[in-house]
Amino acid sequence: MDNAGYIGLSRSAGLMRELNAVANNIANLSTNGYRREGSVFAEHVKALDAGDPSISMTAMSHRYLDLSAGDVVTTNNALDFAIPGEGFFLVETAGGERLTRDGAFSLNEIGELVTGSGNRVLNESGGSIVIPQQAENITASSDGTIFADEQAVGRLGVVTADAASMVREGKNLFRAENGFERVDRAEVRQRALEGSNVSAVTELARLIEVQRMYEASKQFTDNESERIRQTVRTLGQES
Amino acid sequence: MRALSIAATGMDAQQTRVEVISNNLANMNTTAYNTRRAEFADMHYQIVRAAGASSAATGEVVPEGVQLGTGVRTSSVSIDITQGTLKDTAGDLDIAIEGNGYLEVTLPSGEAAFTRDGALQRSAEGLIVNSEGFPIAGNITIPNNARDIAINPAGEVFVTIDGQPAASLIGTIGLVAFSNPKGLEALGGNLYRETEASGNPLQGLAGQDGRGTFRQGYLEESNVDVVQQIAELIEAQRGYELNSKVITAADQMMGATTQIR
Repeated sequence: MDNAGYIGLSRSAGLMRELNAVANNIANLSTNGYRREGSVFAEHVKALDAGDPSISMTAMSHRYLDLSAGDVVTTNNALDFAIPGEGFFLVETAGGERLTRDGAFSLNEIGELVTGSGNRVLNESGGSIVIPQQAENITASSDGTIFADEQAVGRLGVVTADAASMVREGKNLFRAENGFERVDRAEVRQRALEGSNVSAVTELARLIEVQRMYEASKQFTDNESERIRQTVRTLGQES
Repeated sequence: MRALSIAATGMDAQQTRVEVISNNLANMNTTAYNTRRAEFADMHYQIVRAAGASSAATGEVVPEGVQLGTGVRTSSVSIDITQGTLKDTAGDLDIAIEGNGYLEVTLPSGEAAFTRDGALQRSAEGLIVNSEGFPIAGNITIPNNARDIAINPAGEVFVTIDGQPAASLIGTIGLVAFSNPKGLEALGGNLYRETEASGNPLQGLAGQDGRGTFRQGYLEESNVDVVQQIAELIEAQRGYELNSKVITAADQMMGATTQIR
């Protein structure tokens, strides 16, 4: 195969990868606080021999994190929290502090606020939030301060980080490679959960697009193969 | 061809959601049933191109690498422990708990189990038992000649015996609190068992330290919101269809691949 075939193949391989990203977005349609993943293709210039022009291949160069907010739905649960605007909840894991938008919290055996995976949710000063066992009513003000029977027990830590430096860790957690900053005026809503920001319509459209592009790229490879075959045949007849 | 398996995890998750919803709907009339909700989390990511690495083509630092997800999994099925509405039954041994707390029953194995289902009954020996026949902690026995049973908000059980003018106290039904009631393990039969996540059972009296109070003649209905469940069911169904669409697309692309000449 010559260069044209390889360029077509690089496109096919990239589209396969994009399909995986779309599949992952659709699979996480119902994941609380999931952030959609986008992919960007870039030209990959390959130098040829001296004197020849260079050729352009394509490669999936990076992905981007779509930080737009998902739909916020109200629930009955006093320990469900959502951040309608910018920011992430800060949680503590064995590997250090992590960021999440999934506010479906619960309590552990000693009354600390934890995530669904059991990681402690941190307050604004980095400590855990403990709800006294005898608390009857858990309320929260819009700045994220949690009250157990009108007694403030801590304020949820809300932080932001540069989207480019955030690495997905699974379990709805993000690692901020370049650190994070605390948000002072964060709005937190109690008895609400933020869904995934994946739009079914957009993803489906992308899915169809990827599929058609793939077919086009396959067609290109086929045509290229046909062209080479024709060449061989024509040259063969002449000799 | 990871898209196939990713979409399969998505279908699996939506199916789990439908199963949880169908269990909620099936239990919409179960006394003191708590709505469950399936929660999902994304699975680990495969780093194809690390952020911060330098690009081979240009030598520039890659600001954001390529991280490919591998799907979704069910992280937990959480319990909504808000109070259900109280239904008037007029039964003298029907008690609803208004507020936090669980009744403690003793299983035949001697182990303790906890319930909010206050549809209590009297056993052949006069013992107060739950609907499955397990005695309520405290082993309160109602005398055969009792005419009237009264249970006050604090859980004190009084009986009026024929020929005696004043009601007499025969025992107190306690309430058990947990640090994390959502961590209890459901046993079926409206019963729960303590786990490491729930913390130790804290026995006490109704109305003390944040515990609720009793209301005789009422039962707590399930807290299933039918309309919300149906809306979620539709969402889950559409989510399932979308994932199956991905499988079809991935399959067709695979088909096209095998036909490349």
